[in-house]
Amino acid sequence: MSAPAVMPPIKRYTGVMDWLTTVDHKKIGLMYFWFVLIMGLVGGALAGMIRIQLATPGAVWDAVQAAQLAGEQLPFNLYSEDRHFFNQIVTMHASVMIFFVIIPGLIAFANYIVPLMIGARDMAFPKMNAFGFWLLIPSAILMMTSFWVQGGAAATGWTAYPPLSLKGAGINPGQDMWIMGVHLAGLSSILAAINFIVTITNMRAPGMGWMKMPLFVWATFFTSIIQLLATPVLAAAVTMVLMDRNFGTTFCDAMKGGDPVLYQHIFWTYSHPAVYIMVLPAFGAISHIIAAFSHKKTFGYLGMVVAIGSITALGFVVWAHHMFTVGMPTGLQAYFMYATLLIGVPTGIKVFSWIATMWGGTLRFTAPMLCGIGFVSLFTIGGFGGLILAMVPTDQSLHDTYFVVGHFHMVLVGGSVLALFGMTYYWWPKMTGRMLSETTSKWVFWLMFWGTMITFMTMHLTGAAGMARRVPVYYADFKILNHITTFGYALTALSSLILFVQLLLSYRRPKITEDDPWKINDVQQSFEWATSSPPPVYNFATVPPIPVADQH
Amino acid sequence: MRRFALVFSWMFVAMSFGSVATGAEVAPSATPSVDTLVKTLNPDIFALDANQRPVHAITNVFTSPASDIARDVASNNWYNLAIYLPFLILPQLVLLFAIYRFRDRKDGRKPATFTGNHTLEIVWTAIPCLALLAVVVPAWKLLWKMELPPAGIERAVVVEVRGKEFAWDYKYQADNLSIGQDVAGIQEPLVLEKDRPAILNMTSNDVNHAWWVPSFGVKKDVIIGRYTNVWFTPDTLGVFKGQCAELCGQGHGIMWISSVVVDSEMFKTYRELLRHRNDTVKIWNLLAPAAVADDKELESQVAKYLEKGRGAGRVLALKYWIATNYASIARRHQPDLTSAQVLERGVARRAQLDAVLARSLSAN
Amino acid sequence: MSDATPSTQSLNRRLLLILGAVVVFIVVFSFVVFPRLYTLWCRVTGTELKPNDAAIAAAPSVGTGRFLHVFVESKVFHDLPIEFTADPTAALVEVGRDAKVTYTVHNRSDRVQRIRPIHQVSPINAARAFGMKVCFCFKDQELQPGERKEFPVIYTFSPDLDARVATVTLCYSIFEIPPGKDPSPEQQALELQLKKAIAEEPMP
Repeated sequence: MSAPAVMPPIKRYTGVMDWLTTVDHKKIGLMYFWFVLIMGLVGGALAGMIRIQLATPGAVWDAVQAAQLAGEQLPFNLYSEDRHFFNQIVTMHASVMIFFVIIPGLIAFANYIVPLMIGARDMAFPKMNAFGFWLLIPSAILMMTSFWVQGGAAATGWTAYPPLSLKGAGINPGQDMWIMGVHLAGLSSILAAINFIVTITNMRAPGMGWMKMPLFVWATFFTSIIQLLATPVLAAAVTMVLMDRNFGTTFCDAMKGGDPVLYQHIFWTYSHPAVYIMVLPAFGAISHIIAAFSHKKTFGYLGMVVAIGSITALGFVVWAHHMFTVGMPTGLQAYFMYATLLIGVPTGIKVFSWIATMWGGTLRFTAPMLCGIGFVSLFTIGGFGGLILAMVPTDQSLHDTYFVVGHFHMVLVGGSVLALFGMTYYWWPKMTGRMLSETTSKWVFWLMFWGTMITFMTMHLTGAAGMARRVPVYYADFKILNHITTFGYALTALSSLILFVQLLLSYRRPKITEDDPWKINDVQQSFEWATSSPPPVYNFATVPPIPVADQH
Repeated sequence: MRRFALVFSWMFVAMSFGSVATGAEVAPSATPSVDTLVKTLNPDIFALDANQRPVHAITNVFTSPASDIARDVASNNWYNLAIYLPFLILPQLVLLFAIYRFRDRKDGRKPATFTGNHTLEIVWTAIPCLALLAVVVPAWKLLWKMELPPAGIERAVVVEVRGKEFAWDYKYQADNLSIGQDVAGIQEPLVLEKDRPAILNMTSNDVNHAWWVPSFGVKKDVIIGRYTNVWFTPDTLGVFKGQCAELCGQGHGIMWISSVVVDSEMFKTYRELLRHRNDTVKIWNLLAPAAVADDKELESQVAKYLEKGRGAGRVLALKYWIATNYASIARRHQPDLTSAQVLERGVARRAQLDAVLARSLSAN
Repeated sequence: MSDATPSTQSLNRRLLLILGAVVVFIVVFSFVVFPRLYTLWCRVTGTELKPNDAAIAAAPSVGTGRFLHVFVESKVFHDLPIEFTADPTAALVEVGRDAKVTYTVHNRSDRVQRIRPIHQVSPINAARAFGMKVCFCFKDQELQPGERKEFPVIYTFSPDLDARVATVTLCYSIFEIPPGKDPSPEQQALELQLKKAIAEEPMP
């Protein structure tokens, strides 16, 4: 190859235009991050609206009861009260949190950290990377503005089961806008997945074999495989609903010979693997954090990789455990029960390995470490709920109750969100060159930890006591439990607000000069700590030497 | 299994409040009065007592199972928990210990350098696998039992359940008797007989619903275009509350379910009452709160009603449906009447009916 | 450029060819191979669900001495102006022997109604052992204004029905279909096949 003569001068923008046109993985990662923070506040506010409605058995309901007891005229006609709005909020809370907070939140860190970790200068397809991020904006706008169209936003839960989601076709565009939003968000995550797979496969620093890759890279790699394989299935499922609504097909419309259960199967074929999209990167990052602050290397590196891999594989064959009550043949139920339980084994291996990583170390309880330990503890509790739910006989009592809500929130908030907090505290100095106040960070952690515990442990009990999910009013029996849940919500909300303000204010703190502010790289030997904080546009002046042999 | 229940029920203490068995509500079977019948067969599931606590507390499968299936489910759950719990508690304890023992005391202790231990890793993979086998086998057996009632059951109550937005229609298939919503539009309870298997064939008229009464330990989606079915044998008298458990639209939250389990005598009475229900509609129209209740017209309608039969059961049915309709209407918002006024008017109208009935019966 | 290191263009062409081949393979696989594989998989795992099991329907009517309570339901969707009733609504049916129920459909409107009858059998274990010899649900039906039609349904349960099944609910639902749709070739073929089976087997 002949060397190019002279590089043509590249016109670089500055200021806002720089951010709008950037293809630098670090800037895109930061944009993802701030997008996620803002959407997190939106989703949290929606959750707050749910908790306000559920703070009492139902404002309307209480008034009716009181009036009845007093022998007065009833102030409201209960059965004509419009509860459509509550369902919209529930749907949007879930959609925002899944599609705009947790999935892109983990992509944000992967975007920033993975190229650094493997010693690459950027992602394999920088422009596609930027495109993937910018797709999220119209997606979010579509979903959020649907509140103001006729009939309001989608009100069918994030699962959008037909025949319910076929209602209002041609009249209320909210559901269609939701589907379009899911398409765009899905496209964004497919693009990101392709990018990660290609980057990780081809752009590792010389000498970094597969088995020398940091665990976060492995986790991102497997997550990307899930995203690449499963997201098109979600697109197919919601497209079926879109076609049924607008183009007269009858995939899911039983009135015309379709099958609503078919949709459920296809939907969960995506959405069960999707829960691993939401937690595998957290697994990887937590391994780094715990090892770093224990001053040890990760215990059982190979076991960790195999565990993530087998969770990925098993994740694809257990979808119907979300559908134990649809009346599947008993043999199928038994299969899905067993396959689901099997996932507990690799997950257990990971939990045990994290504890073994801490064993014999010198633990420094910094904010990221606290988040890491909190993650291990809460994730174990959340996963335990999963074991209970996997048993079909018990699940037929607990399905679609607050037990399920408590379970997946324990895993997602106590797991993914707490891990996101931990990752933020861990990598924020690297990403912005600013240290965060340890005291504030620890307040954030403890508020989040106890908020999660109180909110979602109580939800487990509420569900076991017999409260169904997605209800705006409930039997007066559950009043006290719901009061406690609402209190717990206040703690988590406070914690998130403090984090948000803390990150905003951090830009006014002095810049750090060290490459390795946590002083951990003597054990970690991870590339991201071998460049300046924040790293230069080109990441590394020279690709760092691979720490030979026993990196793990 | 009992022992597990005792050992682990502390975990579920919080959800057990208010789960006192509600058997006290059920009247003795000998010649029940109309008021007892109304109270038993048409309970107000939302009623609060003086302390603002529900009169009919919601019960759940774990602390107060009320059917054979529910008992099996509960004990299966306690058994599973007994096997699972070590996997929850041990890691947490070890974690706490590690946090305490290996904290950095700034004493210059060097961290350990091991990065793996194959024996340990094999052990902590193998033990969970064995535990899984231990829970799967009993669950599989129970699953098999939940699928269909055992062979040879002859006297099952077969009920067709139809979900619709936002209420339920039931039909006792053997008697071809239907129930659904009462005159006030309130969901009627599904009345079942104690110790007699109930088979529920469920389907939907519109969107997906799910029929769920926690204490019976069963829940099944109700899906348009196909039948799903569950069976269980209720074994506790009382009122059991539940609700729709699959998002079905605006009214999902108010798609309540209730079920009353009665003894065989009462169940017989109930079906007898249902049999005459349609014939009482015309008389109800005369006696409804808003109606004029003209004595003459009432007399002629009652005479017509008695033409078809004048047995004690038929007379009781007439009295019962008027009384129970008033009880239902009093629970529902009325444009111009308070609950107390409705009840008051009900008492007067029932007295009027009793007088007319007495005259008509003695006339012939 | 030497021959040993292929140019970017030829590399790209190779990649294009490979990707094109992948696309062709996926299309062929999903439309030609996969349906067959799926059918095969269903047969092997026994999860094959057919609307009507012709083999069961064609079996000779031989009593087994085991009786089932069969409840017959009828349902009209879409609030169609159609009266739809079954007679009898409950029957004691011997496993293995043919049973008959008559459905009456009465079009109470003043326009032609095209309807599609769909059957459901509960529980699922009974559905697997259920076969129909004569049924109006084999094809879409057309009702003239005010027309009243009686449709006999002759069905049977195969003797390998799960021993625990004691009661069965059989429900026919009527759905509206858009006018002007002829029965599909598969439906016509099925109808022919069943007609032949019935011709060979005398009616009870």
